[in-house]
Amino acid sequence: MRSAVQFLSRKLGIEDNERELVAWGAMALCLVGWSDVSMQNAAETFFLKRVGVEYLPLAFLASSMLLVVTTTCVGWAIVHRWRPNLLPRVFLFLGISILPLWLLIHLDVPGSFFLLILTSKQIKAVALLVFWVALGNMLNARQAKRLFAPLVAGLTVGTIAGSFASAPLSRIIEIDGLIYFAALMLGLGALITIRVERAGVTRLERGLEDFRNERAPAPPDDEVPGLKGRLVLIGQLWSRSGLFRLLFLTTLCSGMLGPMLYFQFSYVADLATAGTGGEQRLLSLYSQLRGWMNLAILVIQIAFASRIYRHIGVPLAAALSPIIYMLGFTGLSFQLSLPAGITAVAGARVQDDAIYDPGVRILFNLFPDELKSRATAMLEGPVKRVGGTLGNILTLSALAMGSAAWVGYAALPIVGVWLVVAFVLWRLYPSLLLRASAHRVALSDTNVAEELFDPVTLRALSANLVGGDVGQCEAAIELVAGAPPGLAVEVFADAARAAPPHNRGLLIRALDQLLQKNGTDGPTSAKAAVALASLLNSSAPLDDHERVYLIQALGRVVEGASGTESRVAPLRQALRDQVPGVRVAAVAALTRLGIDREFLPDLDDALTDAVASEDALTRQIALRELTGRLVADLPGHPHWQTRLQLLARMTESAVERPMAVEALANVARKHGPSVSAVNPVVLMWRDDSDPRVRSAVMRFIGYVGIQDQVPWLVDHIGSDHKSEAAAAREALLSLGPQATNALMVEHCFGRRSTRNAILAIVRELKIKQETLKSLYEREVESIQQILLSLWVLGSGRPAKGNAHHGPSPILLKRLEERIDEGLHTALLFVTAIHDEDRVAELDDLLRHTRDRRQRAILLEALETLLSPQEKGQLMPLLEDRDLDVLGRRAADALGCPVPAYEQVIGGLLNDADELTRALAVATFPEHVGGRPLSLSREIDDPSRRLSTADRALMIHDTPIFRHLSTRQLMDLAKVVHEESEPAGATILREGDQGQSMYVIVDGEVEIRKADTVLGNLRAGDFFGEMAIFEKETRSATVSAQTDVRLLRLEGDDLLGLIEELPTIAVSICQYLSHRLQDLNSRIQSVENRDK
Amino acid sequence: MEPLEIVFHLRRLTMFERLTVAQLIELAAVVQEESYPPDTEVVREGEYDAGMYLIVDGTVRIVKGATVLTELGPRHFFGEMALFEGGVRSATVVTNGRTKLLRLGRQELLGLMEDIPGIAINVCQALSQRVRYLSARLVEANAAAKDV
Repeated sequence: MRSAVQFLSRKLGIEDNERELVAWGAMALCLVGWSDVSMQNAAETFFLKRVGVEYLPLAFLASSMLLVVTTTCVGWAIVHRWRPNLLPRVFLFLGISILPLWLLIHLDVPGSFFLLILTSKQIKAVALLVFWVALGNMLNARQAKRLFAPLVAGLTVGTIAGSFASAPLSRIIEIDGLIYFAALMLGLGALITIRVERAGVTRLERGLEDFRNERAPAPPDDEVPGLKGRLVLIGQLWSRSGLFRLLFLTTLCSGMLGPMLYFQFSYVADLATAGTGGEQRLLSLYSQLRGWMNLAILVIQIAFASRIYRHIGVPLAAALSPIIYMLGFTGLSFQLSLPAGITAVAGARVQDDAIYDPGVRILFNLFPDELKSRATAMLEGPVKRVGGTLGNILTLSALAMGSAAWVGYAALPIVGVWLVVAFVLWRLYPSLLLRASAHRVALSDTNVAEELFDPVTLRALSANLVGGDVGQCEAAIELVAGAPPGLAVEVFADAARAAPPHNRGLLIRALDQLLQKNGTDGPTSAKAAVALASLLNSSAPLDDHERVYLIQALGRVVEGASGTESRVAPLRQALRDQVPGVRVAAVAALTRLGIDREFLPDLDDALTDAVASEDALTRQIALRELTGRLVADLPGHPHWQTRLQLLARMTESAVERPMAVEALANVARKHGPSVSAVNPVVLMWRDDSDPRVRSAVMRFIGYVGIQDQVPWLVDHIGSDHKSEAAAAREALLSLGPQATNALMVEHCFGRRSTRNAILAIVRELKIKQETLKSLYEREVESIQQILLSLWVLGSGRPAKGNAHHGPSPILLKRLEERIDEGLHTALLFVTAIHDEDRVAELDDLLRHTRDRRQRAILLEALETLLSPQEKGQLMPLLEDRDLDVLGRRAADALGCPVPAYEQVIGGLLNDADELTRALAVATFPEHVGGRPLSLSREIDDPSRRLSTADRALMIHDTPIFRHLSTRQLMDLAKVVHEESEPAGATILREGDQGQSMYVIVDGEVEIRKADTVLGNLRAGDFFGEMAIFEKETRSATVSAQTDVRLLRLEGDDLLGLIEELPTIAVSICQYLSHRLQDLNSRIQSVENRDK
Repeated sequence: MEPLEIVFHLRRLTMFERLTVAQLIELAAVVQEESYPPDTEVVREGEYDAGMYLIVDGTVRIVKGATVLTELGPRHFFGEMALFEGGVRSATVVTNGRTKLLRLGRQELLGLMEDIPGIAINVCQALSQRVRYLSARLVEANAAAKDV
């Protein structure tokens, strides 16, 4: 039972602490729905029978006007006079207020039926309004959005049950009894809402939400405008957006037609139930109709709506509405009978509620962001209401002029307008979509995006594939490639046939890539095959590549051997093609299809020849076909091993190696250890210079399961090459828990990027809770150790007469970084232990937030997610950075005495972290028998070679590299070269080639262009960067004014560094624009002097 | 301008040539379109305003005092210096004819540079090209002054 509840709540996206709220809330809404539908059924039955159907539009008109007044007043009142327990009180009040009405009805007081219709509409509106406001106070926007559906489900269930129940119930307690029954339901609802108010809110969600809002401020809600303001707003939207114009018209039309059709239905329903016992029969009719209608709406919404959108597209699905109305009104004007009325009203209502309304809401996503909220509010609110009012007025005027049938005649022209508008919307839809996708409006929400792409639309997009310029064609290709592959293939094939030559190449490549991505079990399509065959048969000029790709594509999309003569003909023709690659592709395609087996050359012979061919295109085709066969066939196939060897042989050529190794990795993914015969060949390319080859080797290792290569994989998991890192990750995941040990070792001491990546893998590998907990404990302990060292180094003084300097700032920086890294790792372990992604999310936000107030909010949110023990261990570290307090606490926690200064140094010199060790050795060389190094600038003896750590210390002092972490500093230190130049030497000469940049460590240089001195630079400044960015010759001459010491950095290293840390580029830009400003003013002064 | 049009425009600028379509779309969402009549000041020397402009259509001249420093046409940009110099304009920019510009704010550009290193490198490149050009001009001006 418990697990069923948990399963259900997870499915619905309800969290543990929200479950109670949702359950009680849905129950309350269920009662509201029940009471409302009982009231409505009773009210309309009485009205039709005792007042007369011709007054019904008047009653509806009055009630909808009253509704505006009531909701405005109630809305104002609850916003300004909100207090706890208001929700149950309002429900109770509504329930009690129905009772006098029941008395009036029971006594058959004239006018009370009119009043009943009015009240029945108001009660639901007020109850729902108060309910949603109350919930809005308890939930934040994101929660509300998530919980809206399960809550509303309660309302629907209540409505359906209430409707079916009202007929049998009325037989027991009379029809007017339904009214006090409704009151009873609301009273019960009042009791339940007490529980709703009690089921509280989580502080955490609020904290996070506030924070998110602050980071990305949402546009402020527009104030509610007056009538004039609304008209102006509609005018603005009307002139700015074509989509708004169309939706405005359809909303208005649908608003008008609803009441008109409903009147006609009421009229025939009244007629059909005339005579004795009419009231009871009419009520049964209402009860059945409302019940089944709501049930149908529910079922269609859940099961069919999104499928309908995906198949015929949102605009076409919405266009069904006017068609159904058209049929309904036409049918009713031929024969004003009950069956026609029921069919018409049920069809229209179900279509409207289940398909049209949600569909239009999806279309709202196509509005640009700045119009979206206003346009949605306008269309859903005033425009819809005005439509309803007009509809009722029109019904009344039609009745005044003629009979009930006239209402139908009046409605038909409106349906006509609606149809036209719907048609225009359908035609315009693809271009609206293209525009929206450029705005990234619709595509940001993947669920919506899926519903926005339907076959019809995609085909319409192909107009851009064919007709657009290259840029538009590329943009459209990107959109179409995201669609389901079967469809995209058809669209591309069709477009390739029709496109002009400059787009055709692009399209053929797009098609080829798509088919490559989907491998051998890609989509087949007769339509695409026909298009490709006709393109191949046409006289269109195709180059060799295009023809090969087309033959291959055709071979893949043709769906079988029989009945495809015309589509296979180009393949047969290609057997005699003069380009060998085309012939190979054709042989392979025909062999796969099993056509002409007796005439075909042997595939394996053809492939062997092709592999040995001189022609690159032929070899490429052979490679693709080999891969295709190897992946598709089982290793037991007679030619499988020979083909595998053939493919392995292709790795020998440097040109094909990336593709060949990648192909082997793909085969390994499908067949695992069966490919181990080629292990030695693949491993030979482990250290290839091409990252694509290395990535493919990694994936191969993972899929075959070569254990002894695991450490090598782990090494690359934090690689700067994204593809390499991803490949290592993929490989490790496919190796599974076997890789855990190697991962853990690297995790403790590796690079930050590696550690992060490992954590993600560890989570996916499903490591046991106990292991994770002990890892967490170990991490916390090591943080405390480092904290202790840092405290002793920072506050303590070296023992007298021992050393003459303190620790270098870079070593302290390293220790601080390790505390940060450790905290981060510990939090990631917590994330894994509790399976709570928000911890990682908060950790990420915390690392990027400097603002104290925002940090406080985040920390508060984090606190609610940690267990008491974790809270005690981690929160002090995150919150307060007073080293004295933290150090003492760390000593307490570790239960050891505060170590002496010398002891700490000894520890650091033997630290497990290589970087710390290196920095410690550089800082305290006397402890390892070396010479003491004075700090940074005062390097006295230029002849001595500096260690990496020494150079890191120097780089640390230059302003542009100030933001680098110690690891980055050390990495950089490994690639910089030290240079010294005597005074007067020329370092760079104008017009020379050169791709390196210099940072001045010591001394002064002069920059000169021809006779003009452009400036002097000093320690910490840099020069030579311009040639790197522009790939040009040196723009000026730089010469040493004094003896200078420089660090030289090669161009590629600088660019690589910027990729990793773009802030460096911002510093360089700052420096350059400073120079620009200087140049500007100097040019101005020179030219002024001229005059 | 249609968003798609903006994307196509941005794509033609050398500064953004390394960006993917997706990144360009991201960029297009943060630029604002502005139109100016002929002989209008777009930015004025000494004023505080941190934004960079890309020229879509028309030409502008960059003026410092009475000196015309340079003229720029479509596919060029200006105002980037203010982005890095605390936002005070170092020169005045006046339109020659009717001119259409795209404006990119300081925070947006810095954000983009942090997110997409390719942009950062391109901005560096563009700036150093301009330093090179102006250094050459300074040398010429000096030589001319000597001749006089």
